[in-house]
Formats: sequence, structure tokens, C-alpha cells
Amino acid sequence: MATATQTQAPKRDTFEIQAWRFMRWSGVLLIPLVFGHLAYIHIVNSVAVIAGADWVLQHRWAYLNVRIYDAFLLWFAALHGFNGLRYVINDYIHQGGLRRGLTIASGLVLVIVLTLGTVAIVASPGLTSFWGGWTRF
Amino acid sequence: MTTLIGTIRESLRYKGREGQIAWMGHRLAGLGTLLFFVIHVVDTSWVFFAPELYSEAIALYKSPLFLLGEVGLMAAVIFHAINGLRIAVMDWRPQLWKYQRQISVATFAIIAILFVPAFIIMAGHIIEILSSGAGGVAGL
Ligand code: HEM
Repeated sequence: MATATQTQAPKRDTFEIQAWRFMRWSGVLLIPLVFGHLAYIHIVNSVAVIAGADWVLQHRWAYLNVRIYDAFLLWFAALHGFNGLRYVINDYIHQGGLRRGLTIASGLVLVIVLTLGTVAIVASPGLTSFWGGWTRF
Repeated sequence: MTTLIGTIRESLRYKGREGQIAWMGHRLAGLGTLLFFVIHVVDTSWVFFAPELYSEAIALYKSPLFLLGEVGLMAAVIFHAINGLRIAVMDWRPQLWKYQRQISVATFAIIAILFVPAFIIMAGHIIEILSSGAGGVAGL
């Protein structure tokens, strides 16, 4: 049940227009990021090769390019996915208080996910080389 | 109040064609991928925060249920990515809307063509993992 409102044509792009545009170009950027990740971990290799945390530090995050790649994947997938979730919430929840509550709750989850992921990528020990991590196990 | 469940139920009843299947599939695949993504970032962060827990999470990923989920995730991501590309391209080039039915069918075809080899390779991985006894967690 949408409420009709009258608005002036905004002079600058509104947040919603920028979000709409972001969903499109971040989606296009996510194609190489997500497919690259899936192809390397799940097609060329498999979850069977992941032995534990030491394995990740030695074979993945030892390389700077892998950490940068993972950081891009983390940030773009998180912002794109949670903005998508916001669209879904706005489509189905029309009660002001509940909508605001769910939006704030999902925003908190977004912040937690970005914090955990970024700290792990940046602060993990064992960075030894600039370039590598293309092994087929 | 309209709900997600209502959308799914009414969509099945409405028997919409390509465009509606694409819209509902895009939404469900996006939400499913997001749910997995959140769990996956948290467990991967355990490499830093809780290395022993990380080993347990990885053992869980090697269980039959999660291996099956991994194939479903691959399908969801391929669908959402290729259909998302269709959405972006059609929004940038509105003249293409004349061919929207053909483009939707072509999109479904590309999704299927990408998924088939992925499925075959992943099925091979699953057979290997399960027959090697590496699939750890009992009962899953
Ligand atoms: C791989 C490349 C991807 C492409 C090309 C893509 C593209 C798109 C596009 C064009 C939209 C529509 C936005 C709108 O309606 O304004 C969208 C929505 C969405 N995406 Fe993605 N996306 C991708 C990856 C992902 C990933 C990795 C996630 C999860 C982390 C995700 C989650 C979502 C969600 C939840 C929505 C909202 C669905 C809806 O409004 O019905 N997407 N995506």
C-alpha cells in the first residue's frame, strides 16, 4: 500500500537514483569478481583443498593480490547485497516503524560483516609476497 | 500486508511468463546468495579471530548437505549474475525492450549453458570428496 506523495524534481541526483545506478555498475563489476572467486575455489579447486586457517594464511593471504581481490569482493558484494535487501524490505514492509527497525537491523549486520571481513583480511599475519596464489591443488 | 511468501504463492498462481520468472528468480537468488555471503564472511573471518573454529566450519562445508548447497549456490549466482547483466543492459539501452522476450529466453539459455559444465565438474569434486572419506560431519 504505497502512499502517494508529491515531490519537486530534485536538482541533484537523489540517494535513490545513485543507489539504482550503483546496483547496475557494481553488479557488472561483481561478475568478474564473483565468477573469478567461484572458478578458482570451486571449479579449478574444490573445498576439499582448504585444510584450515594455516592453509588460508599460507596459500591465499600470503599474497597481497589475493588480499586486495578479497577486499574488493567483500565490499562490493556486501554493499550491493544489503542495498538489494533494503529494496526487498521496502517492497514488503509498509509499516513505518517495522520498516525502519528492519532497515537499521540490516544496516548493523552490514557494518558487522564489513568489520569482521576487513579486519581479517588486513590484520591476518603471514603476508609474504606481492603476487601469487594461482596454484591448482 | 504483502509478504515474500505471498509473492511466491501469487507468482505461481499468476503464471507469468519470462519476465516474471526472471524477476522472482532474481530476487530469490539474490537473497539466497546474500544469506550465504553473510555466513561465509563470518566463518572466513575466523581464520583471524578463531582458527580452531575455522577448521570446524570447513569440515562442515565438506559434508554432503553443504556440498549440495554449494551446487545450489553456484546455480543461484549464475542466474542472478547473468539475469542482472540483462537488467543493466536493458536499462541502458531501452530500444532493446522490443526484443525483451527473445532476450529473456537467450538469458535463460546462457545461464543453462554456464551451469551445465559447472555442475559436471562440481559433481566430480563431490564424488571425490565423499569417496575419499574426507566428508567429515556425521549426520549431515
Ligand atoms: C555477480 C554479479 C551480479 C550482478 C550482475 C547483479 C545485478 C543485480 C541487479 C541489476 C539488481 C537489480 C537492482 C535493482 O532492482 O535496482 C540486483 C539486485 C540484487 N542483488 Fe545482485 N548482482 C550480482 C551479484 C550479487 C551478489 C553477490 C549478491 C549477494 C551478496 C546480490 C544480491 C542482490 C540482492 C539481494 C538484490 C535485490 C533483489 C531484488 O530487489 O529483487 N547480487 N543485482
